[in-house]
Amino acid sequence: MTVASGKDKAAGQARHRMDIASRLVLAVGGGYALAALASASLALALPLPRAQAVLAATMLSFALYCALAVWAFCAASAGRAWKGAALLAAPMALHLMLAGRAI
Amino acid sequence: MKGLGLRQANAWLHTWSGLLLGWLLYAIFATGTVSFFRDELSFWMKPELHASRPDEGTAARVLGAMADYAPGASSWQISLPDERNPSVAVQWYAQGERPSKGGGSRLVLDAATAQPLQARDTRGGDFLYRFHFELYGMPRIAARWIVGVATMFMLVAIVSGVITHKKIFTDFFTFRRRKGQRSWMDAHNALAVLALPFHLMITYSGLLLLMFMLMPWGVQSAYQGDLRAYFAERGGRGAAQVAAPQAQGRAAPAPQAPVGPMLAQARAAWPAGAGGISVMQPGTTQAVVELREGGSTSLLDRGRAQRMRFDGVTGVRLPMPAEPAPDGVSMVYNVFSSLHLLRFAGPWLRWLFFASGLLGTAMVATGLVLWVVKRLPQRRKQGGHAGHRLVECLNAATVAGLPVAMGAYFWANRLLPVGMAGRADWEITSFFAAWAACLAHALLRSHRQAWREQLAAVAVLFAGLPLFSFLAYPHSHLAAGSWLLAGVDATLLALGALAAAGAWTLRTPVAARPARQREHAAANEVAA
Repeated sequence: MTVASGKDKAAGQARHRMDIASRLVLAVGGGYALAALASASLALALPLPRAQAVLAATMLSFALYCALAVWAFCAASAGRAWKGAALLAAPMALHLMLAGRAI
Repeated sequence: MKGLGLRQANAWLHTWSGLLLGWLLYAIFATGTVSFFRDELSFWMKPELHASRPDEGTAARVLGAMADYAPGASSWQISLPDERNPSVAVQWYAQGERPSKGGGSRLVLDAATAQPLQARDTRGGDFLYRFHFELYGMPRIAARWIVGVATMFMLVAIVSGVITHKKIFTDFFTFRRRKGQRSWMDAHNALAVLALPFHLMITYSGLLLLMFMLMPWGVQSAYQGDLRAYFAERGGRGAAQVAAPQAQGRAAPAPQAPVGPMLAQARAAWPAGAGGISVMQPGTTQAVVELREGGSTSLLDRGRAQRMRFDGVTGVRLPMPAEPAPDGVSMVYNVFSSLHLLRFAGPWLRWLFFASGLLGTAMVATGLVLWVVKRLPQRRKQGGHAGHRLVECLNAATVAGLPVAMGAYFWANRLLPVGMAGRADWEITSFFAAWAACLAHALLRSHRQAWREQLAAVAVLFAGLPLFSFLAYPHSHLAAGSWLLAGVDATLLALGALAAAGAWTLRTPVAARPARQREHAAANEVAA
């Protein structure tokens, strides 16, 4: 991957490792959390009979998980990836709080 | 990633998500592919059943015999022979016994005589089927989580692999022979693209089959986690099944209506006729006969094979409440899960799925090999590298070692004494012992030797099985009219030949090989 040019190569390498670790945490943990949030929120929000909404939301959650995992590694920086994920999570978390359903 | 384009970032993600769980994915793909022929394999592994030949009179004959085997039972369940299993399985429950998955009494009957057959104790194809999503010897839930996580990695590897390939169509028609890394790359691409819809479908549907364990949060928010309430409301999973009639007191014995006309009605209504017969309160005035559709052909309503009921004494068809049609979302789920479980498929589609599964298995295998080949020049410069050597060993011991283990499992099935105590467990022990031996072998030998010798072992084990069957079980081969058993034997022969070809290409000594293979071998020596 990229190694910072210049005098402090070791620091660059450490930064690079942190970058990967941060993306990894986002892809695995953040991805799951976001998919879980989405399935919980969509299960209530989809304009379908309740059982069908749950089924549709749960089925879709894996596609979302996958998309976020790929996004975590494609974003220009780890920080941007985290920000994007947070932006996506906020409305769903708000929806669940308003619906009074802690998950 | 920083400073990387979309494609490079995806290439990196594809490489590492693929490698990390590649060995597990290979094992899941390989055993899952074999599971498409689970029934056939189980039958093949029970030679005592091989002489069973169904005919027109089988159902009536078996029902007649059940009166001797299980008089006074509260119900009989009969699985009629089909093209995947020509024997008859029967099960019955005593009065007052609650029907349950493992309960009741069972027998396997010869379709031509209705005499009980004593098959050898084996898990058959079920062991490999269970292994592909529950592994072995560990808590079921934990194993399913591990497989679920691996499946999720597979999905990410597929999607990032596709993004990496901008020239997906041209690449598909490119194959550069004997170009080392390029050849492996081309093979990996071609295999992946050829069956891409299958790979995506089987991976996503695999996740969906485990989804309420992996992703319970939708049910959690809408039903407060009450899965039972959810299923009841969705009307799936037997919620719509009509309750079996309850015995009202002790019913008096009565002569029963012949089953022939009932089966004729089933044949008229369903393409495959009846696949199973249940009789509630058999032999009494309260008897009810239920026929179940054989090999349900619809993708849309999985798990809801059609049923018909008849009065067991008069033979008159009884009304059944119509089953509600599945809703659109459930249909999507049903299509996915039907495609994964493949209960609906006829032989041609089953072979197509089996072939696609083999391509998927080969795709994972070539991906693992590619990882090693790609890093060889660099590793050679640096001298030995423990991580690289570990990947090499795990590659050989998984890709070639798992088929060796399967061969050992099948041979144990053939050779262990039929009356042996704990026989089925010994077969499984043979499987894991052979696999462990392959890992030890890979650690002790050089990379190329490990591959060559294990592939040779696969060839000998697989090709020897049809030969053994031919000599030991005269009912098993095509001359006796059994396409089913001949199909299993032919598949073993073909896979054995493939392994032999693999071993053959690795035979040449280092000096006589073209440059790139010399490099390869030299690097192996360094690594070893």
